[in-house]
Amino acid sequence: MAHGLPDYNRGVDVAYQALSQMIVRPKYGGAVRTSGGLVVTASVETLLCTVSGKGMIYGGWIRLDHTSTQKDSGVIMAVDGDDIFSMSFDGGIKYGITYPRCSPMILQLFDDVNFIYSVGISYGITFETEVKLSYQEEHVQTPSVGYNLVYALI
Amino acid sequence: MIELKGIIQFYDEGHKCVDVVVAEGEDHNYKRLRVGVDIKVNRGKILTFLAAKYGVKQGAVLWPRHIKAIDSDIATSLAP
Repeated sequence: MAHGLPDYNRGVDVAYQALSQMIVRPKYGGAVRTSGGLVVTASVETLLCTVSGKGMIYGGWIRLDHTSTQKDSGVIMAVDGDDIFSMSFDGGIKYGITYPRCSPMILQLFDDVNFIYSVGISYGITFETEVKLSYQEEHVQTPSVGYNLVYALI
Repeated sequence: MIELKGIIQFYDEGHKCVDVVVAEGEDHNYKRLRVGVDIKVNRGKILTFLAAKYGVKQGAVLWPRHIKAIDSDIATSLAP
C-alpha cells in the first residue's frame, strides 16, 4: 500500500511503495508430466493424450523404434482446437525442421536404417483450453509409440 | 476450496487413463489425482469424484469455464 493511501486510491507505483522493487511474474502450478506408450492403429490418426485446461508447455517428445520404415508417418499437435503442427518424419528431415523454437515441434532423430524416429516439443507454447498430441500412421503398420509431455496448468 | 485446474486423458499400454489436477485450500497446493482407467469422461463423473474425494458438495468444487469435460475417445483410437 502507498504511504497512508488505500490501494483503491492509487495504482501500483513503486515510487509510492515502501518496497524498493516489485517483481511481477505469471503464476503457474507445479509441473505435470503426461507420458505413455501405445500401439497405434494402422493408416489412421491415433490420439496419444489430451489435456483440458489453461497452461504452458515446458517440453516433451514423441519417439518410436519400429521394424520397418515409418518415414511417411508423423505427429500432430492441436492447441485450442486448431492443428498447430503436422509433419511427417520424412518432411522434417527433407526441409530441416530441426531447429528448436522455429516450430511447435522439431525433428530430433531420423534413422531410416534402424527405423528410429523422434520429435521434440518446443518450450513455451501456451494453451487456453486444450492441447492434444496424435500420431498419424501411413505405412499400414502398428508401431509402438512413446510420448512425454511436460507442462504447467494455471 | 477445491478448484479444478485440468483434466488429463492419456493412453498407456492399451488403457485410457483419466487424471485431474486440482488446487487445494487457501495455499492453492496443486495435486494430481487418478479419476479412473478406461472410463468415459463427463462433467458429472468428475464432479462426483471430487466431491467424494474431499467430502464436499459438488457445488463446492470450483470449475473454471475454460475447462471442458469432453471425452477424448475417437473412433480411430478404439479400433482393434
